[in-house]
Amino acid sequence: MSSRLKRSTPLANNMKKDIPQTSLSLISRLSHPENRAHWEQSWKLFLELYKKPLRSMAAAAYAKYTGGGRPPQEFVEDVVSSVIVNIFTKNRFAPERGKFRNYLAMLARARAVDLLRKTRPLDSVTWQEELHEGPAPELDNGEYNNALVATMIAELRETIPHKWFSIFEKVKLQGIPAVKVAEELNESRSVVDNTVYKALQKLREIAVKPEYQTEYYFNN
Amino acid sequence: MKDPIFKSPDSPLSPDEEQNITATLAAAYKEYDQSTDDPETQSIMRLVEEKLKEVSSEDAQN
Repeated sequence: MSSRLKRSTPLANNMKKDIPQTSLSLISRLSHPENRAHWEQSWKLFLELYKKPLRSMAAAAYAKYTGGGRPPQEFVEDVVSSVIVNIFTKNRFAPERGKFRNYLAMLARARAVDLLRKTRPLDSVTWQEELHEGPAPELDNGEYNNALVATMIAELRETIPHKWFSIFEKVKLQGIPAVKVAEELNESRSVVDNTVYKALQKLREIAVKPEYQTEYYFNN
Repeated sequence: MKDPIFKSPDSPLSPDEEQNITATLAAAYKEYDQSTDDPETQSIMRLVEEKLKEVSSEDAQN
């Protein structure tokens, strides 16, 4: 158990870095950042959080424009990397014009079509028409919702004291019984319980921010 | 229906709601508690870095 308690996870490691805040509205403002170091940390964290939904969006776009085909790995990687470069170099996301997930899906479709045009130019007219007229590919709400919740967790990490987060992470995120965490940290059970409660309340305060309330889908 | 984590923090949580929240958080955490050193992520990171260099180079030329 102690090794699990001490284990550093990728998400936790990234959370420990001196990163800028990660709420969606702040991510969307990171285009042309003056601070290169923050910029690089930001897109790497963004990749970690949103890789899975982006990958699904790229695969859905490929399937749509190729009659149900399954994309090669290189295709998905190329589209995902292009979307990230788009966001961090010429981001045009405007919350008042729609949801961030739809913006991501639009970018994924556009970059998928760009790539298909290069590899299969004879079909480009059809893709051009479908890009503008066709319905958006089906998206996996579960993957996107998990990415959003993980973003909230990352924001919580930046908001509360390190010790609070460490206790919260062990009890609520890793499922380690509170009594064992108390023993491990040589704290009383009530300190652990109170810390978990305070951290959860802080997370709920983060969750009521409009960008999260607007973006989150649950079974719809 | 939204997950109870999105309820106002002023509203008390029922035991079921707290359990749902714990499940939601654990699922999201588990999803991202996976290696970022996997070949796919590394490959995407390399591609992003290459493309950012291209963009920087084009910006410099313009």
